[in-house]
Amino acid sequence: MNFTVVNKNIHVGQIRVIAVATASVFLVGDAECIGTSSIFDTPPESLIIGRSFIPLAPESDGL
Amino acid sequence: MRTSVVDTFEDNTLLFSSVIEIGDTAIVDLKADIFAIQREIPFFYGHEGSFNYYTAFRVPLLKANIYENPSTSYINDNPIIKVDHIKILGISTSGYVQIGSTKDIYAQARVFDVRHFLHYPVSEDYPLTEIHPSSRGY
Repeated sequence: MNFTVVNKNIHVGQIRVIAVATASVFLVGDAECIGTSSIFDTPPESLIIGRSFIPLAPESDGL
Repeated sequence: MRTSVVDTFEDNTLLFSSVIEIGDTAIVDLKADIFAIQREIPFFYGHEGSFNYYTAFRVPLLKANIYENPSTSYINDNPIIKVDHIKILGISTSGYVQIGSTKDIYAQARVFDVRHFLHYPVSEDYPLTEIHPSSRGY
């Protein structure tokens, strides 16, 4: 398949962005390949209700 | 590749493995692993939490499957991309802002949230089932 792109004049006045967050891209220019992915997890066990401060398991070399 | 021209650029915050790039690049690869714990009283031990323990940090993320390679040609009638003014408030967690051209950009972010309450955060107006749907058993 042959694909031809003709780039003509482009002039943007103002861009206002609140946030570029969690694997997002804001690009003024050309790119060949962009791949972004993100994961957000809050499973049931991430809600703890209790009066004691039991520390979460620390990072260990064994795992 | 075209030339990018930006007159003024303004950014307030840049954090958590984010990048602002002015100029051209070849490959950009951003990674952020976030383990967040929020407690009703802000008390922390400082060495808590394990990335290995949670699957969110281990599962492979989806990757684009490019099975077709069209032969692409570009004709740049006007080789300039012009922007007068850019204002960004914040860039965070593998956020990428570039003025210029690049070949590849890869970005990934993994966020795991833990909330720790001392008391049941329940009132008549705001039942626990609304805070967390799986708490119906309480």
